[in-house]
Amino acid sequence: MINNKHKLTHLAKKFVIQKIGYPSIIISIILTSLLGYAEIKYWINISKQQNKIVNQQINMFLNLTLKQLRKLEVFFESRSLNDLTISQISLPSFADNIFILNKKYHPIYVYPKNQKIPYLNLIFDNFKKKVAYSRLYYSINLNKLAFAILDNARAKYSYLVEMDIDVFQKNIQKLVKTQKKEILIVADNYGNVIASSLSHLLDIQENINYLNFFKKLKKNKNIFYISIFNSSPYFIFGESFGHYQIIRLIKPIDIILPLIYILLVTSFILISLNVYFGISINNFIYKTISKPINRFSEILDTSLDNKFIVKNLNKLKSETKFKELDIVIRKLIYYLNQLNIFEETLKEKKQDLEFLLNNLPMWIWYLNDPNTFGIINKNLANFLNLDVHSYNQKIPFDTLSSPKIIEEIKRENKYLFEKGKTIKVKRWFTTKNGQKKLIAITKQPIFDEKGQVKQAICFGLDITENYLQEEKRKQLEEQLRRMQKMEAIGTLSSGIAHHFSNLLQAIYSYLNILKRSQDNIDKNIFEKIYAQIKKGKSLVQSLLAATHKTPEEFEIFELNKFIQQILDIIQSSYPKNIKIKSYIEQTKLYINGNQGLLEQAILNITNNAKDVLKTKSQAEINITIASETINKQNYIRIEISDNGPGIPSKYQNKVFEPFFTTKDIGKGTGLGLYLTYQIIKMHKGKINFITNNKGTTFIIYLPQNNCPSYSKTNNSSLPEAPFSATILMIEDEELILEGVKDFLEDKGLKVIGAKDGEQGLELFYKLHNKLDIVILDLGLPSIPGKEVLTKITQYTSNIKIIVCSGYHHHEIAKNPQKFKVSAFLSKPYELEDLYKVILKILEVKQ
Amino acid sequence: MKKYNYKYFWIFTIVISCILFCAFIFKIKIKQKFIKIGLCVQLSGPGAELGLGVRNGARLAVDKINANGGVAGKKIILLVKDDQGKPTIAKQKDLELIKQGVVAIIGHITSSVSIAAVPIANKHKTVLLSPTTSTPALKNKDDYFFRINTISEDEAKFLANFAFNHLKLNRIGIIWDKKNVYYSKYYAKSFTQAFNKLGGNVLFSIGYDKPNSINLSLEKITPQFKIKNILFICSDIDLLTFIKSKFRYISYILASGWPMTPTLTINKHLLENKNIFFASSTPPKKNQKEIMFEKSYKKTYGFSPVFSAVKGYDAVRLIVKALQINPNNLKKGLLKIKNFPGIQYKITFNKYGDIKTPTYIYQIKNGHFIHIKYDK
Repeated sequence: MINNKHKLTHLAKKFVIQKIGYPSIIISIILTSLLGYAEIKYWINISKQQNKIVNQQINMFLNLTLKQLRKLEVFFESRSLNDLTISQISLPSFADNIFILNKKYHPIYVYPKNQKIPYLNLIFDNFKKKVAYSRLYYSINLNKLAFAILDNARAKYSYLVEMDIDVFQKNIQKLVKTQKKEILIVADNYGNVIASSLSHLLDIQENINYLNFFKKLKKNKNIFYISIFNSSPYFIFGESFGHYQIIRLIKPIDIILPLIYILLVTSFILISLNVYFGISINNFIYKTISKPINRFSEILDTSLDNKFIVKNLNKLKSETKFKELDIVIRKLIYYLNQLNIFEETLKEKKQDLEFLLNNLPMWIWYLNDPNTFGIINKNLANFLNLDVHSYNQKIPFDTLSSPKIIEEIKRENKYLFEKGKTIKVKRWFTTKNGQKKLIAITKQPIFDEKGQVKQAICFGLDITENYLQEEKRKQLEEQLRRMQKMEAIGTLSSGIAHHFSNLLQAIYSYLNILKRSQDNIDKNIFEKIYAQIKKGKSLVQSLLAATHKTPEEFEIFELNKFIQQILDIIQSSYPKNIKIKSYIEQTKLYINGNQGLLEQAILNITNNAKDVLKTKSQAEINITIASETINKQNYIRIEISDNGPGIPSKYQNKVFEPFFTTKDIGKGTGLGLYLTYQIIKMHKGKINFITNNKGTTFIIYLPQNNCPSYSKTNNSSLPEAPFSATILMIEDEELILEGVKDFLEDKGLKVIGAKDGEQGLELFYKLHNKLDIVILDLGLPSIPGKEVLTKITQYTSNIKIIVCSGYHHHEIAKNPQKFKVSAFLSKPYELEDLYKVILKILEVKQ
Repeated sequence: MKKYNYKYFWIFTIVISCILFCAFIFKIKIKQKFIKIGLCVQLSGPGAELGLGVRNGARLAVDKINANGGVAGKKIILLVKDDQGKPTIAKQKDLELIKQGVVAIIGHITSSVSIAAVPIANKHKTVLLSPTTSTPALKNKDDYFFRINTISEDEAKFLANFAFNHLKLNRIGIIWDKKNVYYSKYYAKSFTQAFNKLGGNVLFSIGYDKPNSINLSLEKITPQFKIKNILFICSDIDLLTFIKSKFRYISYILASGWPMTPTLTINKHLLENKNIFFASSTPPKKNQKEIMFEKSYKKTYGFSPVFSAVKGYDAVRLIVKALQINPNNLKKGLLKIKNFPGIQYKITFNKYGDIKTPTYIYQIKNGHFIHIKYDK
């Protein structure tokens, strides 16, 4: 049965009421109306036919009477009328009395005899008409109500027949007796009822002239009217037949009653159908649609878990017979599965995106309006102490320390939302731990369909590192520029130094000759010249060192002594107002280095101190030497401090730059500390300084070395060559060539000289069997020294080669073995040194 | 259930349609009210002609009044009943009319019926206005009975006077209708008193039930007394019946105003060579109003009116007038009416609801009632 509590029964109700109920009602109404109309129409038609019969009957009576009257004329002519009875004359039974009148309307003959003719004036409207019908009147002849017809159509006489209205009426009455419950009235033109199914209307000689429908009937041939008659409503149909009006009245109920029966029957059928359809549709809907749909909605309602829904839907799918629902369920399952996949993918993507957003080393945020965040990533949230998960947070301007920045941001955001233009800005922020960060911010507006700024997407990238690197790069560029400068200077100085060393070498060679040949000359003068040559050589070396073009002529020496020597120099030469203090570690410290360079390096520092402290009283220079181990590496720490005014901060960066000086023009070259820096670097050490307004301290770290295994031999007594050897010397500088030749020949060696490469090679090819050693200068005219070297080494490997050059940084100088060179000597070299090398080679050769 | 509100709209529409349909069929005029006037007279059987005349006249008046807008905007309905000239039926019909709410009853024709009906009218305080009743039995009574016919006493006296003095009749017989005893017997009595007083001799005064029932006795009586003059107090048809049958050879026939109808004139040939005299309150000269009325009547019904038609016409008009004067109390309204312009004469009720009019003598000649000038 119907589950009335079920929601969807309304659907059935609605369906039944709308699709069956209302149409049923409408059909009933239409059907009833049609039937009503048909019934009335039928009644009218039947009435018309019956009226016709009544009329015919009346006419028949009247015509028959007339006809018979006319027959009378024949009988009357034969004078035999009195012998005949009424029946013999064949007059109708109601034709009682006959009056034959002359044209003056006087009775000539009366039948039956002694009957009195009525007063024609009173019973007829117009008795002179061709055929006149009387009104009802009381006839004394008949002693009752009578009715008369007067026939004036005959030539000689008029015939008047007086009829018993009762008999006439009874005849008509037979006709007007109706089967139905209808009333029939036959009235004359004045409304006087002459026959009726209601007999009392005749009794009371009713006149219906006062009734509206009769008044209308007088004007129309027939009427259909609804009116009150005898205090009841009636359908009235009236027809006019000239002399008579026939009116039929029927109570609406008599017409409506059958309709009501029909209506009831149809209603019953329709109601039964409705109920049947209602129940069956409801059942159908409940079983096939409503129940599964209800279950369907329950499934969808109970859980948000797609997988659970899919599982239940699968169950429902197997149960339902509702095809459309089945399709919906299958589609839904498909979409839900898809949705699951999408959801998972989306989740992953979201996680990825979130991961990306939160792990990107940048700030990312949305602006919903100038003062409100949309989404913000973790970095920004952490920075601003906000919740990364909440949406629509107000921008916490309070946390931004600087009012200037707050103002800027507000203005910027306003501009962004008003103008819709991208904003790119770099701004410094301070982190919680006080670190300063430079953030490059880009704010990009997002527009809606109307072109209004809806949101803005913003990025902030930490470019502090970049900035710093940029700064560093700038510094490096500066350094490079300086290096290039130095390179240029180096090239220049190495060229100068080459020539200068050649000059010194020549001077030295000739001085040796002079020393040997002139015994009477004061030896001190020679020594002083030697000292100057040495200083000159040292200057050349400094210059070359500054340009990395010095050969690494390092030796292991004791630093304590070395420093002590420097202190001695300083103390004797510096003004007396400067107190020199030294703290030197007692243990002997060794270092592998070039004493000259290191001396220069230290003096450059102390000289600068001296220049600052010149005018200061109680001026101090402290030198501290100590060993120190850093990263398991032993270093010697040399601290040189003064109590001067310190280095102004603006100059601090430039202290080690070449040609940077604060001294007056001509007083400083700007190379001092630069050379120091380069020398320390050359010794694989480090130099730094600390300065404030109380003084400056230079700290130098130099790698410590172990005690050397041999000590330098005294070069004052060089032994004679133990054996003879032939040496080819290829040297373009004639002075040097001669100096060396003289010196070596003194030692018992045979020297053959060549002035350029071409000559050298020629001599080599010629004498190569006799030659032991070739001394080769690299800077040669015609054939370069290197080419000469190559050709010689390719030609033979038995001959030892010593390369002497002012190009200290030449590749051969760095790795002589590679080029099959036995030794490299940098110019200017001491002749003793050359001799020592030759001896060493010859020893080896021996 | 809000979803299904349009269901009620449908039902509402259907109900409204039905109501409109019904209203169309029955032409219900909801606010229209009617004034109902009852009319209870004899409409069937012998002697119905006066009643029919009253009914037709009354209907003419109602039509005319309704055509002029009714009474204070209300239409008049005339409820017509046939009392068949029988007191018991009359009482029954009067009660029916009263139940139907009539303001007044026009009726009845004969005195006997009226006398029977008066107690009912009094009981229900409903005016009973008789167009023709003339019995002295109802005179000088302050009740709800009104009449617009003069009391028969005077008429009878006038006729006795005319018979004795003008016709020089010494002896006369009286035949009166037992059915209308309160009229005819009173009439006979009044006539006898007056005639005897004058010195005449009333030989007999016989009441009858049916005209034929007295035939035998009369046959006996007639040769014995050689009666040649008889006063008939009967209806027109009874009179015709008498004249046609047993009283063919009577010299002078006297009659009250009762049988003065067209039926007599229609059958005038029966009355030829007869001296028939009538005493009636109908004025001899027809005034313009009466002519107009007759024209209208004839046009409507196709024949001439009987004298009672005028009274029926006047009765309705009097009731309407009284309603206009006093809508709440018709009796008081009627009593206040003075010199009401009736068709034939001016009407003023005395405090008992009676009127007084002169009596005229008519003779029927050649189908016409001829006024005989006579002054006692």
